[in-house]
Amino acid sequence: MKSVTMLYFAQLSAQAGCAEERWETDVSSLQELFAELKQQHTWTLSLNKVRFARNDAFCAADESFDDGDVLAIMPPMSGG
Amino acid sequence: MFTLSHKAIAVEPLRQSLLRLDAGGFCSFEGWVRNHHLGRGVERLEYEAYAKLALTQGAAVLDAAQEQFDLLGVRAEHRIGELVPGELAVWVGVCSVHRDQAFEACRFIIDEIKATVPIWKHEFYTDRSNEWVDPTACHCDHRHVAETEVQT
Repeated sequence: MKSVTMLYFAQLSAQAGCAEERWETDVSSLQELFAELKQQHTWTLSLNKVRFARNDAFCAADESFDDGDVLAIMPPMSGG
Repeated sequence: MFTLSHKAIAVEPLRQSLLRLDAGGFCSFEGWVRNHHLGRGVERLEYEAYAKLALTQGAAVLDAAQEQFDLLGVRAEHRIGELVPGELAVWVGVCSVHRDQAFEACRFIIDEIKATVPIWKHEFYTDRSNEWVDPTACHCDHRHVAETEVQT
């Protein structure tokens, strides 16, 4: 079991009702974690729409993570 | 340098920071908050950022532009927080020996900022509804291939 800090933004944060939370999980990759959290928070965005960051750096969906990591899930960017 | 600002973007200091005697061309882009989006009136909007990653990714975009277009100077600043129509949302400025690189780099930078820097726009409309803008969403009225029955 790994314990991580999750960061959510924009509509993901709004739908989750929080911008940050501690999460305990047995999954090994970020895409598996997304599937778990999508169900938990009833997110409407699909995997191919989101981007991930691990400890403040972009990373791939199939990347693994460690206990204590800070993981971010981001919807499509819309700055500018 | 890429920066985020909670206050109104001050253009003149940004432009001044790029003045050089060996530069023959300067180009800037200003992204403004407009009062409509997809037929709806926009009353105000809020920009939210993943600040740590936005600063590093914004800097990476400017570094890439500097290398690709052989720029002499480059700056960009993005506003975050609450804005109303008419306000400046983002400013990009570049200088180079000749104008071609400046024009091309400016376009490259704003396109990359919009696509890759973790900043999100929350629009509030005059009809009291609100929405997080998703530039990947299709607003056309046709059916997509995946939704269309296979024709034999």
